[in-house]
Order: sequence, then structure tokens, then C-alpha cells
Amino acid sequence: MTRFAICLGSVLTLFISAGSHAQKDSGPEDALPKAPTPGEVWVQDIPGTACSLTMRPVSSPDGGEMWVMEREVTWNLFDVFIFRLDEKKKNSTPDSDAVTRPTKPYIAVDRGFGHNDYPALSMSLKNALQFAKWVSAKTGRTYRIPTVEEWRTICAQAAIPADQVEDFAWSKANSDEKTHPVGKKRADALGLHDLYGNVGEWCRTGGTDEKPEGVLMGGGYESPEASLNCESNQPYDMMWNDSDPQFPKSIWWFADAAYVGIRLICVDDAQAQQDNTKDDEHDEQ
Amino acid sequence: MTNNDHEASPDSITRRRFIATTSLGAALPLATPALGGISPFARDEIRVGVIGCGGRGTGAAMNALQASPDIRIHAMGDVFADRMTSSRDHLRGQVERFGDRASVPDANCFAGWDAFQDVLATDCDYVILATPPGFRPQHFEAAIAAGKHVFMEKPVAVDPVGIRKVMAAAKSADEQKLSVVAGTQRRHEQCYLDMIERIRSGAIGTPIAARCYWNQSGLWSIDAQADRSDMENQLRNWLYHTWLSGDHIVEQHVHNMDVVNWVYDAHPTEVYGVGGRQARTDPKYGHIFDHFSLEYSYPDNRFAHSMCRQMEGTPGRVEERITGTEGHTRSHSGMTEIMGPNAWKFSGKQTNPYVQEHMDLQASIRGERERLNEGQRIAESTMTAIMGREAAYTGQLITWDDAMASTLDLSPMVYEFSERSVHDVAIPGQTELNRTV
Repeated sequence: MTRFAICLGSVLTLFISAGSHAQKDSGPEDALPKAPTPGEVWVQDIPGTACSLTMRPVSSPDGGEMWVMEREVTWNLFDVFIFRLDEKKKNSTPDSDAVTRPTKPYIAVDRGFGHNDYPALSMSLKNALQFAKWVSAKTGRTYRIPTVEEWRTICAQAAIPADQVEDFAWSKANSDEKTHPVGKKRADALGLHDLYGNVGEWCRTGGTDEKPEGVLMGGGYESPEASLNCESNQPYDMMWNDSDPQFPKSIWWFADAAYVGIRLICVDDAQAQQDNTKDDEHDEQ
Repeated sequence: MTNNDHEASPDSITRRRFIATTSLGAALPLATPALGGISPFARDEIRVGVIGCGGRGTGAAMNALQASPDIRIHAMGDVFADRMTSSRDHLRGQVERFGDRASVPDANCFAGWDAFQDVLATDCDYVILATPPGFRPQHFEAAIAAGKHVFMEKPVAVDPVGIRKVMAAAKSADEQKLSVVAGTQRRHEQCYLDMIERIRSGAIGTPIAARCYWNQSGLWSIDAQADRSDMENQLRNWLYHTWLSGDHIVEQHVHNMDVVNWVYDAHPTEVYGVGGRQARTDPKYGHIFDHFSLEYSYPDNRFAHSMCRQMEGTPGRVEERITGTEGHTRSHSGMTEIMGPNAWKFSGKQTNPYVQEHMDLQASIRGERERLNEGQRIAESTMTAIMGREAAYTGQLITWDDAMASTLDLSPMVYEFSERSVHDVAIPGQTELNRTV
């Protein structure tokens, strides 16, 4: 069954790339910005939405080029994903329709902290991975959740001074126990906001697509200021969904962990190809 | 099966009288463990029947198992065989955690319209009532008549006729010394209990005004299928039919109204307000509204504003705010605080309230604490939500007495899988409280 699922995934990938090429001459691809230039900031519009992502260049762990979101993913875009608002506006594309989306959350998942421009939160890693797939399908580029090594590489280049963390981060010390709109704290050396604090950021450590494994990096609004650094990680804990009153519990949403969020990276296609090859090798071991 | 029939069964007598006798010892809660350290049910596990095997019914069964090691899920029933079997199999899958205590034998698994009667006819001690709320009055009445203790999910009715049925059954539960707990889990959540204690001791002076909210995005829906009857399609998509869910104001917002009634230690006297169906208009969402905003009057010139909304892409807010003559409170699941001269914020530990409510019910059944009967209270809180819905549906001011005397009965004439039209969307100024449907 697992093998079948993997095959289906490959077919889906082929379908997506074929679809992108087919649309190149006449489709919405014309509206896409040019491919990013190494070392330069570029703004990624998300077709069919009013949203765009500002992507900042950063060196990857092996010295190559990648881009990272300047800000944490907000509800503005995550709502479009979970409520299929792109389909309702008839701006959907077959590519993005093919991506499985999460069920609607049962609770007020934003916890009343705030909505527009506030970080999306409380999503499971599986949910975050689907979101990255959806953004990739929408844009025709490879967006994904970083690995821990990639996140630490970004963090090192962000170079947040240890004695000025409060200027850069919403933590237990200054958050009033809630998240805040993204981008309100000082930008770091890379031009990123909220790398520390506000919501922790999913990084993938392994597992399968069905049962992915990951940790949170960067800490959240409930983290003590002293715990915010490039090294600390918060492993997934079943208690994050302890009080979900349904059974089976949601595989998409956490009833208890409101400090879980997303910041995507983008790698260029050649790099992505290399990564995929690595994954295949890994699968065969 | 009548209560007398049940008492005639020797096995039942033993079990039931044992419980009743134990209940008499409620004034001496500490005496029970002193009996050789064995509580009555340590020799005889508490058997649970589940009526309504959806995600919440299955979740409540898990919570009951988590609450104590002497709990066994004994029987289960659902109108739909597929819901019952999936729930049964999920529970059987918990063998590592609960051994065979979560494994219901096939002989005690029931499907169909009468499945609730089949569950009640088994030798279970308490039942979890977790079907869509439209069935609750009928099921609660039958459970109490069968002499069972009850955990029932909120809300407990969708119309005044159902409310009166629940109130009568709650009274009968008292006469039989049965324990009843409702799924308004804030009543069992430590942060709320601590806040209420402080309010009672004057921390915010006299509470005079309240605001409560359940604003969130949309919920799941199940698309109608051509090979299913109208009745089945409505049951599976129950949130969007008032005769099944009570509308979202009753189905969800009852939690927050219950807190306001708790703080005021009263139910409202009248309600006035607005509501409508504006953003969520697709026929797959039945006929319910997507927003309500209401003003409730309480005795002694106290009042409450209630607001609830299910609209995608809007900010959420699920909480209660109380204003007193000397301070304010703010509360939501997991967080309560007091602002003003007696400022305080809950910082203690608390157990999962969905488990705690079963711990409290089980302690009540064992006679280890004062017996709990939350039937009348949850009926009043549910009625608070129903009268608010009716104020918005009709556009009229609705008094508590109007609501309590209302003949509104939303239940179908017959329960069968057949054609069934969707009720009209209510139109303020035209829809009447005592309408026939």
C-alpha cells in the first residue's frame, strides 16, 4: 500500500510538471514573475490569490543558493489553502486542485489572537507539508519545509545578537501570551522577521509522507526569551493534541499547541532535482 | 423496557441497589476508600454504553476509559452500521492502551433506529449520549427510564418540547438517585472553577454585564449522495439542519451561554436580537444561519450580549467576558483571568476537562462525592441558546416564559429513511415561534 502511494505520488509529480509546461504559452504562467536571480530578493505572487511571498536569498548548507520567506506564513494565504477560496473564485488550477487539503478545524483555530497578517498556527506537520505542495503546485516552483540543518544555516546568517533578542522576537517576556502580526519586530541581518518567537517553525526530520516527523525551530510566543537560539528544537509531542475531543483525533490540527507555524524555503529546480534523487536513494535503502 | 422490568432482574437489582446504597454514603466521601481501600466498583467494573458512534461519541468513550482503570466499554449503537463499526474498530485498536476494556463484543454492537434501546437493554451502568442533539431528549428520557447513569453531550435539545422532556427526565433521575453529567466541560475545568470561586467571593464585586462569543470559521459538511434517502443525507450532514443540531448558536455557543448563566446563577428572562444567513448560502449548508447577535436580560437588571458566527476568513473569538462593579473577567478554554483591584490569572495545572468530566461522573456513580445531576442546569443553558435562536429567526422579543410554553417541536413525525424536504430558511418578521414544521 505504501509502495502504491509512492507510485501515485510520482505520477502526480509528473502530472504537475506536464501541466506547467503545457500552460507555458497561453496559461496563467505568463503572469508569473521571472525566475529568481541568485542573491536577489524577489516577490512570489501566488496565482489565484491576492497574496504574495517576499523571498530573501540565503546560502544553503552546502554553499548553494536558496530563498526563505521574509515572514512567517499568515492566515491571509493559509485561509485560501484550507477553505479552497481559490476554487471558489474560479481561479483554481488543475495542479493545485490535485493537492489534498486539510479538513476544516473544529475550533476557532486562530485562538482569537488575530487573523489577517497574524501567523497561521496549530497545523500538523502533515498539514504544513500539504501547504508547501499546494504553494509549489500554484507557482510551479519548489517550496518546502526546511530541514533542521537548513533552518540552522538560515539562523546563523540571520545573526540575531544574543543580548538583543527582545528587539527581534515575541516571546514569553513580551508577547502577552499571544501571537502578533508578522513583521512588527526588527529585521535580522538577512532581512527576515520573527525568526525567533511568535510561532515556532516546522522543520522536517524524516518519516514518510503519511507519517512525517519533524521538530519546531525558533521558539514561539510562549517560549522563554533565554531559550531562543539557533540550536534549540521542540520535538513533536502527543500532548499538542491532548484535548481534541474527537476520536480519532485530527491529523491536521492541534487542539492545544497554538505556537506551531510555518516558514517555507524555496530551492531552485536543479537543487530540487538533486534533493529528489537523494530521497529516492534513501527510499531504496 | 420499563424501570420496573429492570428492577425485576436479579443481576440489575444487585448492581443498582449497590450503587444506590453507595450514594447514600455521599456525605462521607472519604469513608469509601477506608473500606479496605476498595471502592464498590473495584470488584465490579463500571460498564459504559455508547449511543451515537461519531467522532465525539468515540472520543467520549476514550475519555471515559482514560478517567479510570475500572471502566469497560460494554455496548455501542448508532443508526448507521458503518459509523458503529468504524467506532468499534477504532476502540479495538486501542488494545495496547486499554487491553480488552475498549473492545466491545459483536453481540453488544447495534445499528438502526432502535440501536439506543438495544444499548440500554444491556447490563451497562452508564451511557454516553452523543448522537446529533435532536435525538437527545428521546434518548435521555429512555436512559433514565432504564435506570442508567448518563453522560450526555451538549446541547441537550433543539426545541422547547425537547427541553421540557429533558427537565422531566432530570427530575426523575433525582428520584432514582442517578448521576447525570453534561458535556459542558468548562464546568469541570479547573481554571473555570477557580475563577467562579473568586467571583463568588466578590473578586469583581457584583457581576452586572456579560459578553460571550463563539466566532469561528466554517465546519465540515457531507455532500448529499443520490443513492441515499433525504433523511440519511440530512442525518450525515446534521450540523446544517436545525431539527438535528439546533443551529450553530445552540450546537456550539451553548458552552459560553452556560458560563454566563453560571456566573449569574440564573437563566435569562428575555432576549432580543438579530441573525441571518449571509456568507454561507450554498444549499449543501441546509437552512441554518451563519451569524447571530443577541441581547439577553437577566434578573436584577443584569444583561449579557451574545455573538456567534461561522464565516470563513474571519477572526475567531471564543470566550466570555464578565463585567462586575469592581472588576472584569476574561475566560476561554485553558485560560481565565480577573482584571481590576483583585487581578488574578489562573496558573495552576489542570487535567484535560474532557477526561475530568468523566472522572467526576464516575466518582459520583461510585458514591465518592456528592451526587451530580446536571440535567436541569444544561436544559436551562440549552434553552437560553434556543430562545436566542428563536429571537433571531422570528425577529421578535422572546421571553423565557414564551419559550418554556412554546409548542415548537422540530422532530420528524416518523423516523424512517425516506423523502424529507429541507426546512425553509427562517425570515425575521414572518417566521413564528410556535410554527409547525
